[in-house]
Amino acid sequence: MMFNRWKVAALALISWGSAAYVSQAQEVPDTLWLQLDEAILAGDTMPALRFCEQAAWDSLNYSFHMASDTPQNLVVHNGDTVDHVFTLNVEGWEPVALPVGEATELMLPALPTGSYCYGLASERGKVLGGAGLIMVGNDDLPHFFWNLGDWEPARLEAVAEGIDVDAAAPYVPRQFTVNDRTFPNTMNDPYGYVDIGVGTSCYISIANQGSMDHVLHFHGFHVEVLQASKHPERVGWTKDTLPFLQGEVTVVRLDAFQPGMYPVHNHNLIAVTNAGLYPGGMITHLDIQP
Amino acid sequence: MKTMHLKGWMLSLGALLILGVASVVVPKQARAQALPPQLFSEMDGVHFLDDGSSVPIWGYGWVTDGYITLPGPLLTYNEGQMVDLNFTNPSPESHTIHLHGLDVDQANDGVPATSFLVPTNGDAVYSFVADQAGTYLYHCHVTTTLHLTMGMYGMILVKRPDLTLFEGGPSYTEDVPLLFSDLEVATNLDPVGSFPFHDIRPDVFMINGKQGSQLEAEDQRVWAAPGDTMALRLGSMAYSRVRCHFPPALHAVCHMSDGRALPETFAVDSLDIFPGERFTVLVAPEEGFEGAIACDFWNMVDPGIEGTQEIHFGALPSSVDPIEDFDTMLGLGYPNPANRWYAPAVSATGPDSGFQGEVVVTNLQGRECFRGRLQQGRLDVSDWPEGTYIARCGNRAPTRFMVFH
Repeated sequence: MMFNRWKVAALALISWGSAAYVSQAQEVPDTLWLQLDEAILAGDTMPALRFCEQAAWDSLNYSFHMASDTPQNLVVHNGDTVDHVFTLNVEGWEPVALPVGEATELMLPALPTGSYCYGLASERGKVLGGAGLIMVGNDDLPHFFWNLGDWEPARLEAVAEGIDVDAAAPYVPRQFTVNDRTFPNTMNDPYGYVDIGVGTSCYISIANQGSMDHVLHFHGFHVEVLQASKHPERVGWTKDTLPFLQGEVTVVRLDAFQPGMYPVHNHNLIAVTNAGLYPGGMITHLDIQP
Repeated sequence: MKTMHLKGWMLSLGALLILGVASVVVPKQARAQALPPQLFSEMDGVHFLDDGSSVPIWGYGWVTDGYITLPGPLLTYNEGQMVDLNFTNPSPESHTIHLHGLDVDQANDGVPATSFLVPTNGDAVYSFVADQAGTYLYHCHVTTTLHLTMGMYGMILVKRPDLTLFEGGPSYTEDVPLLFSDLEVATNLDPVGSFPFHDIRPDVFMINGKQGSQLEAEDQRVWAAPGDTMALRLGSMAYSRVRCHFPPALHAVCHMSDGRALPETFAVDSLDIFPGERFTVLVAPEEGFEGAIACDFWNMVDPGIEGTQEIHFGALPSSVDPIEDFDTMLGLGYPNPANRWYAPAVSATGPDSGFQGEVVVTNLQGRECFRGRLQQGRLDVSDWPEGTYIARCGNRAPTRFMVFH
């Protein structure tokens, strides 16, 4: 797996840092490092919390695949300046305290096939964006993922300084991301840029870890809803436009019946901008090879 | 599975250069047109709000009309129809038509970076097969955040001639297209100065471009006769989430979403419609029902209801007897088919513009569509659903005519 990631990085450099690869799973890590640093999104620099695979800062949260029905040990280092609580959106999950500066061992439970969010319980943790996806099973096809986020830099600055969010203040996000990237950097994302052949299929896990609801529209295709954690009645529906409530995790199956390049984008169109400039934000692509 | 490709970086460069600069023509050129343009776009329209004020709009209109509307014209096709949608753009900026939900191929997708732009004074043909009955949308995909809120959108219905929702699906008596949208007045008044776009917050909320008392007008109400089953074609081009509240007397059942049949239908008391989504809901109003579906427009960023509009229902008396002697009916209306005007005919080749009596027009289900005297001897059918109609002009034998857009 490490070889694959190295190969992706090398080829990306060769092709001016913008090549995309079909995703294979990122493996379940032994350790996650919760780190506080800065993220730069389309010209806005803002404080950010991220779950990193290594001790070095990475502005992209680490999402990974697990085998179904198999528990997994995980060590989480809390590199933030305050205590946190690790959460998993699984029924019956007991939140685990993450004391500041310490490494905490926890057990990810045996999970049935599906996709799940992990993250932090506090407002600070949520606003600063420490959250990722765990994809369990659904490994018989390429499996991509889109971790959706929305960001208001001024709010992040305040929260990072320990100031509570003013609930009465209007929320005015300026950046909108897929896997912590804004378009066109979403084109460089080996895990979100869907690159498959015509006549083949894939899964896409989609989590809304932002502070508002989102809605994505697929060009060129309808997808089958396999899981929708906050819209369970929609499982089995075939849709081209899907809503994602805050905290919702959805899994869809895409059958690529025609070749071509097709956008997938937020249809609340303020969210296809970078700091208000179109096009940007929450846009990625389906690149269906002939 | 792990195949390298170059399209990624080409597109990322191209998207920045092209998507944001509407005047640049992508080499994927528009094809020559075989037919006269049907739709055109303009950027000099005016839309009147419920309070009597007006806002500038950009939008689409029928070439034959010569003016744009908000929303754009309803496009109706039959399931399986091969469509060439002819479009011309005399406006000062480039535009496209994205056929939202129709799963057309890349070339016809209407996205500038991956399809083609239609520049000022350019023509284009969008070709596709309307292969699945259902409710769809269309809109401009150039600087989409702005062009949509300015009004460049409309609804598409793909229908089955037997008036069933889909193959093997339930039958119904009438389509009722209901397109939700919104706009921010300040943006429409000053589109050039509206940057940045991330803080657009709508303050006008519409159903089929109407709001408030405009929706109570006779021609905006949904008229139902006893026994009618109406197909509400609900779609959203709004920046808001729309929550519709269905009175129990409508017996609302949701059958489709995004142009696909649902695995299981469900009774609806309230329904959330997010931007870009569509639903088909069958309603069977109880006899004499006169009420409304309240539609709340929720702010997508800071949740809260920003406005409420209503879909008003009116009760019709029992339908008149269906036409039974259709095959022996001799007279034809003029012109036939009609797409804008109908007039009683003295022959198949000329109108009787002097007819002064009462005219009653019904559809083939016997539903009365018009009763009254004609102005200047003509009846405006430009916004009538396509189909065959029967006109009774005084004591004359009934005549039939088709509306075809």
